[in-house]
This record gives sequence, structure tokens and C-alpha cells, in this order.
Amino acid sequence: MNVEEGMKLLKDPAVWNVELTPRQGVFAKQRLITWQFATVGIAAAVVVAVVASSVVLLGNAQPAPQLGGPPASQTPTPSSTPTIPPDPSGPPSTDPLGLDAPAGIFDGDCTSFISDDEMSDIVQSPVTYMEQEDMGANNDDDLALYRQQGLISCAWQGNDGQVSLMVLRSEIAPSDAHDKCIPFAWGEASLQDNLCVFDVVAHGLRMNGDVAWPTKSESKSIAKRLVDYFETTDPGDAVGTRTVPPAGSWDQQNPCDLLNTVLIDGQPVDLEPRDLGSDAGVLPVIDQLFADYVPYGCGASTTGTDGEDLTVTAYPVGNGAWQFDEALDSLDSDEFEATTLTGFDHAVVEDASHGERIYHLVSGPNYLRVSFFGETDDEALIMQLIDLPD
Amino acid sequence: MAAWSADARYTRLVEEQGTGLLRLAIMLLGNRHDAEDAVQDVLIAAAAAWPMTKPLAYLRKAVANRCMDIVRKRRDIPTDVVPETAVADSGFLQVEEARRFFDLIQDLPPRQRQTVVLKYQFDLSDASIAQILDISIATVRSQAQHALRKLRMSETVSTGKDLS
Repeated sequence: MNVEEGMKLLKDPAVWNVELTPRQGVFAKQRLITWQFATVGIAAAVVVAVVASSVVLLGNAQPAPQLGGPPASQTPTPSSTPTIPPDPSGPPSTDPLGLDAPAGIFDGDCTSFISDDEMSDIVQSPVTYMEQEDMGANNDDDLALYRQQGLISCAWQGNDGQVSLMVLRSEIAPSDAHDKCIPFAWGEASLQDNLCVFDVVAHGLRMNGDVAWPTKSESKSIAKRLVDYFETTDPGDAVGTRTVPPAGSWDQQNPCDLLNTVLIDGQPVDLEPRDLGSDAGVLPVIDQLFADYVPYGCGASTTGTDGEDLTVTAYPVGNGAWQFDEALDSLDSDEFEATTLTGFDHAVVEDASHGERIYHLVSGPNYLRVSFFGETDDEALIMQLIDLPD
Repeated sequence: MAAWSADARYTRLVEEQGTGLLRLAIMLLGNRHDAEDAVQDVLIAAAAAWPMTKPLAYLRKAVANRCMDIVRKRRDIPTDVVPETAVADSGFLQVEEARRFFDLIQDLPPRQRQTVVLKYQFDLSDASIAQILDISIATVRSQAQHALRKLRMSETVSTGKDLS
């Protein structure tokens, strides 16, 4: 049997002993109905809570409802709809460091926006980086997960557009994760901003803070959270001993300065600020990003399936685009087409010499993402974001 | 709730394409259990998003993406060894030759496996595959070529015959 015959054989439904059973369809509907009932229930609970609140706010001036309710012909007028005006002054500040959290900052456990199962998946995930792709139904969050030096950073965007960022200790027990996570949330931030923040936190502010931080208020909030995190970390439970400087000894306007002083296992994290404003500054960053995973230095250097040497080098070009260049002209023309990027695109470079490693190079308006599967599908997968110069 | 549950088109689509989607997921994931989960997740999401412009293309893309997610999240390489003889409750392929070729496809890297399955098992055009996998048409072609080359090599090694 040759390949064509094998393909033909597998196409024959008669060789298959599978079918989508009615149970699965019913179960799918049941889950959906349950979800919808839950949604309706939550909505009803909110309505009840609002009404109850309005009753409390309006006090005794509100006439007591008549037993049996109003006649069917009576309908509530707009003026009777309870409204709670927002408090322009906001809640009193309890920030011990004097850092004002931005509006929408999440201040509590993570249970309201991430389930136990999801948390368990995150904590137990064996991969360094995981991206939970949106299937297009707006039902799944885009989830990015990064592990480094005892920390897990997790970022995702919910259905409402809100993006969230969370930091966990990687050795934490799943059952404790909700209590130990450090969540961040922004109501208006874009996913791209969030990923930049996520990237910076995950790497201990490896990059220049001025470029990487989305806004000052957000960066201050993150700094506060990180301070809280490090200060409340039990050294005995930590992967490494983290040394955090006392408040006041670092520039609170520049969180990068804070993490520059953080030590893990007595050694500083790679926090050297880098100049991302020039080619000379960008390429070493790329080099650094690849250094731990690709021994060839800058870019992705590999051997193609036909044995040809292949070097893919990324460098910035005008208008915020990345150009990928290959060193040798023996590269498959089809693949080369995919490696010339002028915006959102990606390149898949197969590496036969490293156990079928496939590099995914994704460029965006201001970042470059590089990821690859390891020698086995579930091995390390990395992601890096690099801010492009204007 | 009534909007989707009463929609006969969704029900008909699941009835007509559900098994094909399950086969697609099995070929991408290598085992039936994960495949059933993947298809179920996709059908739930599809029901919530219903209606959509091109439902079958949507479902295929969603299944392909969901399978990719599962592959990435796997702690272990699948150990669901296809039994030597057909077993009604676990063997999803009833012909030995088909099982053997199925195993060869499972040995392909994920992207090549996706490409070759969509191209040769579901007869999708390169453009359709490119759209589903969010890759260029050129990449689809190169991935398919690589996959076929590996399959032929594997077949040659396993049978001792040069079939290329």
C-alpha cells in the first residue's frame, strides 16, 4: 500500500468505527443550557440585588409592595427605575505605598474571572508558554501563559474586551492558586498593551520600562502588586530567595528600577535596560531572546528538511514592520514567501535537525513573537514580544 | 436559549457533519477521547455563536484550532495504542492497513499533520486550508509536500519497498 492508497483507505467511512453519538450532542446542549440558565440566574440575581439596594436606598419613603403585586395593567415608569449614581471621588485610598491603582484594578482573589479548572490547568501546565486560542466564537479567552524562574504570568482577554494579568508562583498547589495569585485587570487596556505588560512582568522587566509599560498608572499598580507579592512571599516556600528593597529606596515612578534590584537565588535577573530605538539595540535583544534556546545566535538558524542551511534573521524596517531575511538562497521559495513579513503574518520554519522543531515567527506593529515546539509536542514553547522602534 | 435550540439548521449540521468532525479530531489528536472532548467544546462554542456565515468552515477551523490547543497542552505523548485487532468499544479503525497508515500520520509534526489531513482526507483546497490554519497558501503547499515525503519515507522503511 502506498501513500495514496493509505489516504484513500482512511477516507473510507467504512473503515472507521466512530460516530458522534447522540449523547455527545445532548450533553453539549445540556452544558449550553446550563450555562444559559446560569447566565439568566445571575442576571436575575443582579436585578434582585439592584432592586433590594434601591429599596434600602429609598428607605421608608418607598411604599411597601402590595401583596399579589400591582395590577397587570400597571407597568413601571422610567422614573421609578432605581439608579445608583457613581461616586466621583471613588473609594478611599488604602495604598500603603501611595500608588494609586487605576480604575478597574482587580483587588481580590481570582475566582471571579478564572475557574478552578482553568487555574489548575495553568498551574499544572508543563509548557513554558501556552496560548489558548480563541476559536472564533468569542467564547474562549485568549490566554497567554509564561513560566520563568518560579513565576507564572498569565494574561488573557475576556469576552468583554477586558484584559487581565496574573502572576503565580509556579510551584504552588492548584488548590491554593486562587488564594495566592496576583491578579491585575484593566477595563480599557488593549490586548496588545496587556501582552506588553505581561511580557515585562514575566521577564522581570528585562526590557526598558519606558518602552514596555503601557501607562504610568498601570505600571505603578503592577509595581505595587509586585511589592506586595514579594513582601508576602514566604522565603521558605519560594523557588529562590527574592530580595526586595524597602519602599523609598527605589524610584516608584519607574517600576523597572524596582525589579532591577530583585535578586533570585542571590543573582540579579537579567534586567539590563536595552535600547530598543535602533537596530543596534534591537538585534542584541533578539539575540538574547534566542540565546537560551537557539545556539546560533541572532535569529532562527536551522537546517532545512533538504539539508540546506537556513538562517532566518529578523530586523526592523520602516513603518513598524519586520523583515525576515534568509542567508542562503537555497531556502524553499514557498517558505521564503512566508518569511517576508510586512505586518501581521508568520513564518513557519521547519528544523529537521532538531527533532522537527517548527518556529513560528509572528510580527505585529510593535512586536515580534517567536515560538516553537520542542522535540516533543508538549515540550517547551516560548513566546517573546519585542517593542519595535517608532 | 430558544433562539439556537430551535434552530433546525444547527441540529442538522451537527447530525450531518458531527461524525466527520470527530474523525478530523481523531486524526489530528490520535485518540478518540481527546477528539470527542474537542468536538464537544467546539459544538458548544458554535451553538453559542450560531448562526455564522460559513458554519462548516467555522467548525472545521474551530476543531483544528481546538486540537492544536490540546496538542500544546498535553503533558504526555498519546499512548492510546491502537489494538492489534478491532475492538468494538475502543478501536476506531477496523482495518489493519488503515490503522498502520493512521499511525504514520500521527508521527507527523502537528502542522504537517493538520495540513495533510485537511488536504487529503477532507479534500479541502489549499486556500481553504490556509484560511483554517491561518497560514499562507505557500506554507500549506510546502507543509503538504514535506508531509508526503515523510510518509513515503516511513512507508518505505516499514515495508522495505520504495514507493516514491
